[in-house]
Amino acid sequence: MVEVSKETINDKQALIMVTIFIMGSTLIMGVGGVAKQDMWLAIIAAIASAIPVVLMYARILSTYPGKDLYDILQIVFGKVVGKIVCILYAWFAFHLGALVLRNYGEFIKTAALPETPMLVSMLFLGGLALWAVKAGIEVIGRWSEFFIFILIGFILIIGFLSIPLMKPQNLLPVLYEGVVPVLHGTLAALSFPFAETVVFTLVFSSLQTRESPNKVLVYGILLGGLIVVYAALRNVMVLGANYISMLYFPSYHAVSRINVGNFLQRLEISVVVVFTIAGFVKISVCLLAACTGIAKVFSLENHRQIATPIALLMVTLAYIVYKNIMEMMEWAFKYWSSYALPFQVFLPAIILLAVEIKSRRQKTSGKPPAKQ
Amino acid sequence: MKIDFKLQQNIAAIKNIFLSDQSLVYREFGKTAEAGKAFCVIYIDGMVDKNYINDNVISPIMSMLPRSGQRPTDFAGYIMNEVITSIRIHAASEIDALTQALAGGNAVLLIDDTFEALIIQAHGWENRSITEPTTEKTVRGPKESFNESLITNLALIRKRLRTPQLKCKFRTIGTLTRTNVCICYIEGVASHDILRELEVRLNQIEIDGILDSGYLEEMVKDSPFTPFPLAGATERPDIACAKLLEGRFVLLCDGTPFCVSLPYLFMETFQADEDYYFNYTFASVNRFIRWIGFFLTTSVPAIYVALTTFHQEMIPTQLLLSISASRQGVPFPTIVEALLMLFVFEVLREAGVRIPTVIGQAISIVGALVIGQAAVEAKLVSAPIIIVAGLAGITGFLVPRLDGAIIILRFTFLILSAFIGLYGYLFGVVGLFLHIASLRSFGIPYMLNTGSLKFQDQKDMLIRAPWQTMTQRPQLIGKKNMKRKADIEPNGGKQ
Amino acid sequence: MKSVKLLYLVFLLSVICLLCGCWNYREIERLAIASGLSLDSLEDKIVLNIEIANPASGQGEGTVKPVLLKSEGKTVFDAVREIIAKSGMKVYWSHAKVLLLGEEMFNGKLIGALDWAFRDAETREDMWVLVAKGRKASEILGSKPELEELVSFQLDATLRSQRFISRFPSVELWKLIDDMTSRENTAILPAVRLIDEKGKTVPLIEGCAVIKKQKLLGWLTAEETKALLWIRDELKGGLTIIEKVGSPDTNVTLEIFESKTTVKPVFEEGRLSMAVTIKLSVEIAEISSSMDVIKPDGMKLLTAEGKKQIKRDIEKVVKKAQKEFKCDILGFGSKVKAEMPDIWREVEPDWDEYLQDMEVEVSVDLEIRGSATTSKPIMIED
Repeated sequence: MVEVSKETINDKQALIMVTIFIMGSTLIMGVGGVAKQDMWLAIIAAIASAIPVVLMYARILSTYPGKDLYDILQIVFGKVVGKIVCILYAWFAFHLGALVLRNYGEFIKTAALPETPMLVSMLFLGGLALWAVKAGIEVIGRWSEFFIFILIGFILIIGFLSIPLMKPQNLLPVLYEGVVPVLHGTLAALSFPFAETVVFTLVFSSLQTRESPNKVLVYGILLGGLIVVYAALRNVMVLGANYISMLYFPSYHAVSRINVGNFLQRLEISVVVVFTIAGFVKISVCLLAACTGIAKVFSLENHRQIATPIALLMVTLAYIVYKNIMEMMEWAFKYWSSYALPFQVFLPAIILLAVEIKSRRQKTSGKPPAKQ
Repeated sequence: MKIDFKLQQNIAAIKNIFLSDQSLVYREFGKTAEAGKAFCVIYIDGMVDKNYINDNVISPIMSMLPRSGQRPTDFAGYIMNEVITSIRIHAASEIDALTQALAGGNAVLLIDDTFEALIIQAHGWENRSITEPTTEKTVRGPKESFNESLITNLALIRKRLRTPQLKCKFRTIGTLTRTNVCICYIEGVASHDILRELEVRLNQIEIDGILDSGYLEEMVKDSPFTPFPLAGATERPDIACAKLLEGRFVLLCDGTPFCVSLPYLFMETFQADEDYYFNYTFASVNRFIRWIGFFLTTSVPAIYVALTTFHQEMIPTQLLLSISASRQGVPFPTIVEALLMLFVFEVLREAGVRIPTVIGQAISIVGALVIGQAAVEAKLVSAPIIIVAGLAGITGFLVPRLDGAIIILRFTFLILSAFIGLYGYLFGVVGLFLHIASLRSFGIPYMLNTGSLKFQDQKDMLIRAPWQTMTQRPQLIGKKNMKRKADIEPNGGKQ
Repeated sequence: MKSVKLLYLVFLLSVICLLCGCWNYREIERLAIASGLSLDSLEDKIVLNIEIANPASGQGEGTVKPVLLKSEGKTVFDAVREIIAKSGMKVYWSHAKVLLLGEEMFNGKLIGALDWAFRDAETREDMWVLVAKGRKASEILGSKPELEELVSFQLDATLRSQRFISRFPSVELWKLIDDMTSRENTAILPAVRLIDEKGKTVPLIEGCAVIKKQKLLGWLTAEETKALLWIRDELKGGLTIIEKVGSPDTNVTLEIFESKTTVKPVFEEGRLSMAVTIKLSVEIAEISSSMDVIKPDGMKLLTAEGKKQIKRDIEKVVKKAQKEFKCDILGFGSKVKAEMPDIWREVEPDWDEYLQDMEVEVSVDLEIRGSATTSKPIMIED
């Protein structure tokens, strides 16, 4: 049988998954809004500061090839403490997935289908994510590999079409209100979306080589970041920072301005397409991470067994997590950083420290660290 | 049951097995009174070449009989090796073997006073001659097609691939039909893993009869429930050879002109043999049209319904007003209208296929006039929906190999669209690609390289690149020998 | 067994889909497609008029007849919903092209008029906004245009062709909102009035209204509007007539092909001034006498005269903005903010006063790049 015993994805697919993950809800929600017209600066700074963070993730992963963060935690911290941290990370992935799902639901409800219950669109997307998780990471990888074409195609076409609407003077003045708002924006953009890639450490257990995590995460961040910066620049240039501050979903409005020869107009649906594709990947990865985590903590054979209940729980959580869109925006832009950064930066730093100590000690005692 | 020593006993035994089957012919000859000098030829009428039996079996034996004095000890062997002038002949000592040989269209020679009988292969049934292919017509390219004889088909492949590396493995499948099936592949190109898997799956088949290669195709599928084809079928020897050259396997099946090629990728449904014979620019355009056709045929009704019932803001104002005007007074909701017209189209299509050609014209007249014009004038349906159903139907014929999948997709997308508009359609597309991304054909991902950025991978996918540049065989399938021009080491080298 | 379950699931899902799919499902022919709306103010109420594009059913031809619906309400949305009570139809807004505002709406009710149109998901923010001059907005919506059946379509077509005429600005809803919230709370809107023509009353768009903080400050004529568009770098084409070139009866009409205005704030000796440079590329489109302005010295004369007259027009509008309206419709503020953020911080609090006696240096760079298809004026020897 040609069947592959362990699910593997190649570097290219992994990279594409990271890229799409970053585009996820960022493209539609906008990011770094506090920095106003300097949001692109904030995002670039966030990309720069995200690179050491993801190098840290990569380092953790490549110390134990073939293992994901859940395994590593249990190796490094022992069964009990390891499992507690595992549960924390499984929760983080689960929660993140629910939040993205809610973003999607709110977007569809606000922008297009006000009378349709939000639960319907979330159930559909959640169901698709469940299907993807059951099919496995390999299928998600292959799927992403195909759909990145459609994403990039839409983004390029929309990019070209919005050139006539762009007013570069909207970017001026640079740093009018000083560096502080930009730094706030940087922090916000780091925690959403760049350092959210910590979820990938929970699912990337079988990349091609030891060097893969490095390559995949860094290039993925750069490529995804490029698109996010482009979207921010476009939004500011088309809409103006002042106008953006009034909107929930700036990209949607920026695209709705496009009107070429009275024929190519009303292209908002392209934003929906992009958000659906990217959001789907993000939710699937989160769901996969959560299921893997629960399966590992409770020593189940297979994460597929529990995928269905967890997916349904995720939809439920998404449904009850906010009262309304105002609360969602407040949480996403005000409190998310302080909630997420421990998972994204502080905990990984501690883990890396522990990993390094353990592997040093093992090296001196002559035992290779990878064999456990 | 062993063969009896006595001729009459054996004849009686066979008559007993073929009880009330009057197509069997028993021809007894020789010196019936004298022990050891009597013979009997048995065959089924129509399946055996009578002249052949006459010239090569009966007459040599008869002319031998007068001269023979002492009977040799191995009498059956003597007859087989020194008397009968037939190419394919062997001895058997079981009655079962004889009956099976008889059912398979062989002649059986029973000899008195021996424990052996001879089975003489003398197939003499009628075959259709080699004609032009009827289902895969081309303007340019070979005009031969397979016929129902496995041996002829094999010869058609052999005469195009004159290499000893072409291997053919025979087996018989079907407890009653005992159909001959042949696995063809090129040693040194095709993967042994796939061969092993294929043999395992063929061995697992339990069925009483194989009447067409379609049975095989379905029974060796990786995912039995998918509407997508996971194996290719063709009646053209040139296509079969092209698949073999790419490192695929071809399953020939006795009794059908269609052979099956494995493994099969999604993009193969968009390839046509003519792509490779015509200028590549034209071929690339055609292939692109087929991709577009697939999109249109599955999506046009869904998108139309989504736009007119959910996203009216996306329709240009003038068009909106004219659709609105044509919908005035139509009693059914748009979705019902769409389902109805698509259903009618499918009915017309099915009727067109089943109906004898002589009265086929009636269908088109009824279809065009009654359904088209009259229904619109009677305000039963609106005019745009006719255009939509027509477009979806016509473009469906561009990718005939996917027709089953297309119908299912079209209706699924349509229902999803009627549910939550373009979002439903979008969810459908996401699901569709999840499904085909998870399919495998003999372990090879169905979507192999469809999303690849490398030119080498895209050469035979969205476009058909010039032959000069197609220097490599498809990945994973032809991986034993990627270079198209390279010589093949005898017996396949390593791996 | 698994496949049977799967079939059940598929069946159930499709039943759910078909039975509940009615939340946002609307049949196209049941929609009352609004093509435009007008808002007037009546005491403390808002009077809403909606023009519905009603596709006449029947044999082809696709004639569209306008239907006018009227309602009143405390707020705009209240009035919009009132329509259902009157007509039984839910109005569909995504194809509404124009929003006509009555003059009385500018008594502090502007935000109330705009907010619903801006906030609602169905209305589009690229709807045109116009001010009805001299008449009630509803009267304009009820007039009969010459070519189109619907007033809204006529206004839409006119506003779309704005770049060939430049006698009025065309302002989308988003632009109005953007201007009012950022560019020093001022905005300009095209003015539409009714004229009598062959016994019919026809809408005509000409000039613009100047708005600051929900108040209508005044009107600009067609010529002034053109000059204003020039300063704001929003002029994309149109004509300019240079009068009395060389001789009193020589009027030369120039067609503008390219126009680029750069406004540069200059800070010298503690005073802020503005340098406005206009780069024009034009073609001679019409000469009203036999005077040869195409030959080199004629051209020189024309260029000089053109520069002078354009400069004069523009300076007139600058004066008007500074002295009469006392507000920054010229868009200088955002230029200063973009280029001299530090100075802007200082002048921002009393920018309007600061603007009043700011020096504005206008220079025009006129390039005549052709004379259409003929090389000489029509020569009639005296």
